[in-house]
Amino acid sequence: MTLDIDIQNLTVRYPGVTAVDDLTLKLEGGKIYGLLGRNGSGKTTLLSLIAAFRRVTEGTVLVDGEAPFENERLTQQICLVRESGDIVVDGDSVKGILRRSRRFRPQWDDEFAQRLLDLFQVPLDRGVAKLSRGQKSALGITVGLASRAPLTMLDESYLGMDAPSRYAFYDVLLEDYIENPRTIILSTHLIEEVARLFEQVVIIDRGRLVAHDDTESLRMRGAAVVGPATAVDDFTTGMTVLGEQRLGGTKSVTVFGEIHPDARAVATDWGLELSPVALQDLFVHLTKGDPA
Amino acid sequence: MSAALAYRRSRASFLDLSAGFSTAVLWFFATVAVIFLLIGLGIELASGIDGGESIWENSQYATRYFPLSMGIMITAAYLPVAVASGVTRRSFAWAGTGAVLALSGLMALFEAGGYLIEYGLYRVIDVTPQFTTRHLFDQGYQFWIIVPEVWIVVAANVAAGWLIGSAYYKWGWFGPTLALPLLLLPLVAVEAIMAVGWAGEALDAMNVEHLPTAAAVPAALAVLALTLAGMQRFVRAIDLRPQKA
Repeated sequence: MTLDIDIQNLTVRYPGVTAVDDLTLKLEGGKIYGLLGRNGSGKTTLLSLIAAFRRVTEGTVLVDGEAPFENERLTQQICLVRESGDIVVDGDSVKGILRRSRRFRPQWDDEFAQRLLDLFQVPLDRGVAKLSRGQKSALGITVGLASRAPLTMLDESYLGMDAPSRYAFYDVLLEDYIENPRTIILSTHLIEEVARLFEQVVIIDRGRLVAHDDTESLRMRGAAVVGPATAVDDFTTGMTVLGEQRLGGTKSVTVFGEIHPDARAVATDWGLELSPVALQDLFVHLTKGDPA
Repeated sequence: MSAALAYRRSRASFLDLSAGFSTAVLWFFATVAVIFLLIGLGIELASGIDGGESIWENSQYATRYFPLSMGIMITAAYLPVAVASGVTRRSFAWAGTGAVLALSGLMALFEAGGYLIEYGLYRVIDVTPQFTTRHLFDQGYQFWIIVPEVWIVVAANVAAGWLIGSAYYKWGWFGPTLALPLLLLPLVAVEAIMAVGWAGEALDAMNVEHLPTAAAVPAALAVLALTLAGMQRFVRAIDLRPQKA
């Protein structure tokens, strides 16, 4: 079972700041989405509204065609794990968290949870307060994945994990998603690391939708042009350059903007190699402005 | 949404709250029992309890204010966990109401048990416990009166704690601190209507007539029911706060 999301003209205002600004977005069920945005861009607020952590006051948020706020049928199928976890009461142990998840999550998989805890080396009998930051993140991930909620959202929840644990998480997420398809939204700053998982990417900036597309289509909005420095310079003249690197006589320039097939043919003739732009470069370009 | 689903979710949330509170409550019972046993022994050894003054009666304040502090934690500690676990605020509010009634019920049984044991021990030395503040009961063995008296008063304390904790969670510290007298109003109303313990003493000192028990109990229950009904609506309007980093 998967859940789709339909957001229309959503606006959220906090004192002195508009966190989400007239956002309209439709996400089909059964895909892995990357939600990208700078700090304070409104990602967490958006996810909190979808998960019914907050009320919608302007606009609409529908999940599976219904508003999720105070909708018991929906909320039990939505799992949002925020960075440091909302699932812990002071004094809880890891075992207690699993007991709670078993109690509340209809599709909870105990065996899978145990496998994840073993994988991330989180001790079952330890109090959550005594876990390292990475272990706390891993516990959040474990709850998020083993809940098997048809709509699972992980908001920066794996930032505290070390690189081997994060890569193990990416593998296990993909493997479990294939076995148990659902709608997954990953909000992250570790774009290049996670990019391979995304089927679609949503980029928001200052609460507004900047881009929403298939990952590959998005990456095709620009190109990395590699080849002899002079040819690269000639080819990219007049294009929006996102970044460039040079090694000896070879140069790599990342450009933004669609490249016409005729231009691609010219590039081939000139011995240039064109590859899709890195998602992170694109993200930086699309969201550049005042530092957050 | 089916009523069965709402019931299942409320029940699960109630069990989660109960599991969270159980250790603290057990420690509380053990601590109070030991303290009062030691006080009783101390008084007996020092001067004897020939006057018959009830020692256990003093535990009534511990069994009011400890549950009040638990009430403060209901929303602050458990609402975020419940909502993040997919429970609606409506179901959580029912669970909170259940926790208020269950916690106060346990305190009532604990108090009644204490009075019964004290009565038995005093009778061994041919003394009858005397109470220094007003109660609906006048003998320690009258558990059928002790239980409702303590239950109602403690439930009002826990409900007040829940109201105060929820207000602080929703609005932060400044507004609720200013509004604290208002937040305590339902508790003060129940205490005044029941007129037992310190409230009875205070009303006597002010020469205020007590309501007859037949009117006081239904009136106190009505205030309690209104408070809990108000909490149902209030909790449904609480957004989860942003997390601390």
